[in-house]
Amino acid sequence: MNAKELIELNNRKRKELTKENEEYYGNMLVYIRASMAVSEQQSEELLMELLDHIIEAQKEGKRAVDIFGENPSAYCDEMIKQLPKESGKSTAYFIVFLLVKLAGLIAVVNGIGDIIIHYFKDNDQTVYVGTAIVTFIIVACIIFLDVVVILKWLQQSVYKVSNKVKDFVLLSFIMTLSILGMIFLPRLLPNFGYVIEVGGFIYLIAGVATLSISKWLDRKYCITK
Amino acid sequence: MSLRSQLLKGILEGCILSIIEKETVYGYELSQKLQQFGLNDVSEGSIYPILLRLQKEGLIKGEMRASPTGPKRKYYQLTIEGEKAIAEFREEWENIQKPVDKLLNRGFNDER
Repeated sequence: MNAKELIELNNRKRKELTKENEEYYGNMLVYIRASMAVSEQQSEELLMELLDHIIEAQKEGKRAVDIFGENPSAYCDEMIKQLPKESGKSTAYFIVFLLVKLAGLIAVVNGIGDIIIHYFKDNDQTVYVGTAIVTFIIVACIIFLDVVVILKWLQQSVYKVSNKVKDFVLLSFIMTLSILGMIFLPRLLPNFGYVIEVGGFIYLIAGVATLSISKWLDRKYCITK
Repeated sequence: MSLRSQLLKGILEGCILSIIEKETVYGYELSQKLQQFGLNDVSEGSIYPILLRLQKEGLIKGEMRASPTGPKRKYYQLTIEGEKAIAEFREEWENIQKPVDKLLNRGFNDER
């Protein structure tokens, strides 16, 4: 059974839990899934084992907290420490896949924006390849950092009594900073590299093509499983 | 980690290996077996971190397969490394068990 099938089965089986057990298990689930470096297959297999255990013990009137203890975050940390790491190769494939997808999306959005603007005024369609590549790298890095921050925050929030207002302010601040960074950092770049003229339609076609190819690659090599 | 909990962990590890040596089991079954042998104070959940560590060390191997009652479960079996480890544990245990028993059970007069 691969990770995706395990997740689906997990979703179905979780419905058998009592409300109290569901809450306890649900927190463990988020906590373990949000830890990035570990093998997805192995962590899903572990989560399924834990779920099966609760379901069987529940029949004898036991509660999840009786089985796994009062300190689930320490318990989960102990297991996460033992889980095998995701292999470097599959992580690399996954990141490249995401980058290709991101490039495709940016091209599509850019293309549509360009076409709309072009209706109203004759906009500049000059693209400096070097600048474009560095801009892309900046955007990708910011998004990557955001994902890391959000996952970490999600993991912490499960077992920490958190201040909702503080969390909200902090997250909005990070998001605002990210968006400002994505818009203004590239403007600081000098124009360099090859100069090409790219109209909105070329952007759009290139973007759609990139997205289709990434989708096909995903299906063929099961990158997202 | 305190010496005491380390010691208990080591013993529990040996017990788990010994159960898996006799038959392939899945998690819940394993916890039931431990309790049947009277290890009631061992919290059920504590087997999972140990199972993960034993897998990491290559002493046992987990495999998802269909159980007699239907659903797929992860069954554990010993590897060759694991067989060596349980033999070692047995020997170490025998070396320590007798002296400790003797120490604990000695009467007041034995010491004089």
